[in-house]
Order: sequence, then C-alpha cells, then structure tokens
Amino acid sequence: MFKHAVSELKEAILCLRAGQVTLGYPFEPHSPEPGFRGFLSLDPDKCIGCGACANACPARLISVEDQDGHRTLDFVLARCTYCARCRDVCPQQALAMSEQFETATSSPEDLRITIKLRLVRCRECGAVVGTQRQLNRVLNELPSQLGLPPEKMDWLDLCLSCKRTRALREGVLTVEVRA
Amino acid sequence: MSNRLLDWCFKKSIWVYHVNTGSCNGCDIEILDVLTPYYDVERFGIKLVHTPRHADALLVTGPVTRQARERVLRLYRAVPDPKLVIGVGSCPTGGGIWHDSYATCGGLGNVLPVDIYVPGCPPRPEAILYGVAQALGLVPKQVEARSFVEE
Amino acid sequence: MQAWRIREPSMWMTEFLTGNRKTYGMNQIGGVSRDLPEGYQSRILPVIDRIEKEVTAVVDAIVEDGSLKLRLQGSGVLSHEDAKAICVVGPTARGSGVAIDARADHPYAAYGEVDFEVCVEQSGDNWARTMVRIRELFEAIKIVRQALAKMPEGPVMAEVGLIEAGGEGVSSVEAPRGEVHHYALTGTDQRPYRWRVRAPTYPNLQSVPAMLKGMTIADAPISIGSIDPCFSCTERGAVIDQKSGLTRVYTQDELLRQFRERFG
Repeated sequence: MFKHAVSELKEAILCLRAGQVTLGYPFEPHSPEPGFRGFLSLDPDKCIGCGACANACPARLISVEDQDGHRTLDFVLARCTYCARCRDVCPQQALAMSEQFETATSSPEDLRITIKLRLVRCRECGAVVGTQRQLNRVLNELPSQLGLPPEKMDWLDLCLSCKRTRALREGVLTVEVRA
Repeated sequence: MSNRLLDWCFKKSIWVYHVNTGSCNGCDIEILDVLTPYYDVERFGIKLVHTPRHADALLVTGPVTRQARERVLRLYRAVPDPKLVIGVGSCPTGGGIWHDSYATCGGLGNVLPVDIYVPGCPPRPEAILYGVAQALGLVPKQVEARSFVEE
Repeated sequence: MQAWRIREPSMWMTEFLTGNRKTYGMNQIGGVSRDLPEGYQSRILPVIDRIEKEVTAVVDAIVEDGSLKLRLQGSGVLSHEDAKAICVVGPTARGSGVAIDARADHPYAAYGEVDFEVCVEQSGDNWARTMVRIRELFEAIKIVRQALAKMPEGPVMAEVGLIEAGGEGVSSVEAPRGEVHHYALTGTDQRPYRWRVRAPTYPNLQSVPAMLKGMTIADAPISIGSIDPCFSCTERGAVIDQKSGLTRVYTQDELLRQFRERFG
C-alpha cells in the first residue's frame, strides 16, 4: 500500500515537472528542420526535359509525353511519397523538396505541375531527337570537353538511326562483318 | 435559422472517427501524435471517438483495399449528417504507390465524396491540423496547380 | 501521455537526420541514399541521453504502481509451450521466456559489431511483455551509443550494376514487433515485380485466443494491445484473377496441399 502511494506520488511529480509543452502552432509557425522533404518544387528555367526523374520515381507519377512540337512532363503530385529520388537524380538540380507542408486541398488536381518544352525532331525522318534545351546543353558542354569546334555539331538535330546511316555512308563509321 | 445555428456549432469542436483502410500505419501514428502534448488537438475540442455514430468527421488513412471498401462505405453511412470526410496521407489522395494495384481502389475519391485531402507521407501533425482547420473553413488553401510552357 | 511527450524529440531528431519524421527514404540497393548531415553526433547524443533519463524516471514511478500491476500482472498469460507451438516472435515471445531475436540469431547490418542483451522475461503475462519492451529501449540506446562511437568513414553507396530480372531475395530483420520477412522478385526496368511481407503481427495474433482463454472481457483490449498489433499486416491470402477480377480465398488445407504438390 505504501509503495503504491509512493509510486503515485512519483507519477504526479513527473507530470508536474514536465509542465506544459504544447507548441504554439497554429498560432505561431513551426518550421521543420533543415533538410525536410516537403512539397516538390520545380525550377522551370533549369529543367531540360531529360526524364531522369520519371525513370527514378517509385510511384511513377511523372509522365513524359512527346506530341507534335512539344514535350510535356506531367507531375501528378497527389501520390507523391516525398522520397526525393527525383531530386537526387536530376542532372540540372531543377527539382527541390521545399519546406512547404501545409498542402491540404479539396481537389487532388491542385497538386499537379506540368512543364512543356520545345521538341527537336530529326531533320531527315521526323523522329524525336530531344528537347531544344537538351541539345543546347550538349552544344554548350560537349565541344569544350572534346575540343571540337561548334561547326562539327551540325549532326545534332539528326535522330540516332539517321546519324548511324550518315556515319556509315560518309565512312566515318565502319562495320566489320565476320564470316 | 436552425441551419445557421447548426453550421456555427459544427465548426466548434468536431469529433473525429479514425478509419484505417489498409495503410502502413505511418499516417495513423501521426494522427495519434496530433493528440499528444506537443500538438494537442484536444485544446480545440477535437477528440477521437470510438463509434462512427458519435462522429462529425471521418479521418481516413490508407489506399482503400478491396476488403476495406465495403466497410468504409458502411462506416460512411453510419456517420450522421452533417459530416466531413478527410483523407490523410498520399494513399487516399491519389492511391500512393499502390495507385494501379489490383488490390486497391486507387484512392479515396473513387469510393467516398471527400471534403479535404491532406497529402504527405506521412503528413506532419501540423499538416493534419492545417487540413482539419481548412476543412472547417478557418484557413485558406495554399497549393494550386502550376503549369509552365516554353514558347 | 508522458511517454508520447518523451518520444517527440526523437521524431524531430529523425527529421533533421533524414528529412522526414517517419518515412526515412534511406534504404537503397547497395547502401543508403544520403549521408547523415553535418553535426549529427551532437544532435543524437543529447536526445538519447534525455530520453534515457526521462524513461528511467517513468519506469521508476510506475514499477510499484499497484493498480497498474493488478491490471497487467496475471492477465493475458501466454505459456512458454504455447509461445513455441504458435511460433510467435518479438516481445510477445520474449515475454514468455523464448529468447529469439533476429539481431542476435542471424545478425545483419552492424548488429554483429555491437553488444546488446536479448531481453527475456519468464511470466508470459502483459506485465512481462511491457517490461521486455522497456528493457529493450535501454538496450537500443546502448546500441546507438556503440554505433556512433564505431562509425567508420567512407562512401554510403556501393556500385551496383544493372539488376537482372527474375532474381529472388529474402531477408529477415527484427522490427519492433518481431521478426519480419521480406521477399522480392525483380522485374524488368530496375523495379520489383513481386514483393511480399510476412509481418510479425501475423503469427502474434494467432496467440491471442490462447491468451484470452479464461480471462474477462475487460482484459481483452489490453492483451490484444500488448502484442502491439498492426492490423494492416494481417491480411489472409486471396487469389485474384487479374483478367476477370474474381477472387478466391484459399483455406489452410488447400494451401498446404498446393504447396506440397509444387515443392514435393
């Protein structure tokens, strides 16, 4: 009986010592820790439409669609699990997980980001080569890395099969056939 | 007059019934966290109840699995009007990772009329508080669809 | 409620370490997706020190609480023989004197390099299971301190080539509720084709009838709660025909017969 009374006293002291710990939210902001993986944000100037994010997303919520002269990347963020794989693989660091977490909405359509980029099609056969921004990146980075002058890049707007055909025809590439 | 009184009363302290339709329990623990001393939703009069017949709102987590679908519909019918349906987490919002699975219904919107979705995996307790407040009309919506076109 | 209050700083700590309170998003094939941020040691150690101090105070206060002992001691008894026969795992088994722990029996990750004790109680009632969990908390704090002291430098991710389709993998780890087994079958385009979990609540729930025999109804919620059930993990196996949408639930005899016919 005595031990029980002592134990109850200890419990009461514990609760009293803990005091009031309630945070002021929602009357005061409570920002998350740095590095918090909140709502996705896309920088439209940096995205080149490569689709690496679409490949990496576990929920497959990023779709890449080429139609006529544009490539559309559609992010259906209603089913995002905030794993940040897309941010980790993006070569342009165009994706970031912001600190925003107050994202309640009555319609999941509000949780959607679309970006439409100009597409470059093969000048011989019309197949998709890539987005204009992807080609710009190649133009800007490749010559300096390989030491090539820019005028050697005039095959950039050919698709892969047309490039191969042209290379074989002009003798730049040879194929060895073994009997 | 009595309708306006009911509307005014409804905003005051809603009683919530929590339903798990097959979630991984992450959202469920965060809902329980909202009742804990740091976030303390009970200071607003919101409490968890043990039967849907006492509830004003259904707090649903999980992508609705095939087995849970019928039970969720029965629970919805058991909650008396006026009622709110709040979907907590990415699973009710769009089906989560299971959106195209044969074992789920692809999100709560395919089963019940939902008033508000609180996305997150799991949403922080603050986000759940914000979602409930938004359902009651106390705070504004902060997200909208964004679209960029390169000309 | 005090336990929830004590737990909250650990949630903030994991938010700092991994970016989310709960779904850490760290596991990748070949390692973890990101390194711990700068200054993680100075963040983790004060938190676990404080948790240890506060939990010690709580345990000291409740261990002689007469009403708690009346409620928990002697109720929901799972005997040692029953625990072994039903093959329960985790604290449910350890509370009944069965010393199984996947971290000790087949060590994975870094568990082979740290010292810890497998906490076992003999009485098999709700009180035993509670005490097992409390003692395991202190063991976990010990493990964290040892791991922090022994943390090596180096990359966080190994080079993994392309993953072939059709590969199978099984793993067993110790979850808070017991041993959990994962099975994965790899598919094309670097994604899993099939994934199945055998969660620890599945066998643990089978012990509930044995626990409740002869008890009053008031003891039932506490006994069911003492195995810490995760009801999402307790689905029966149902076979769904993807084309027609028809479903069928197999009985135990049918499943056993199919298994024996296929695997001999």
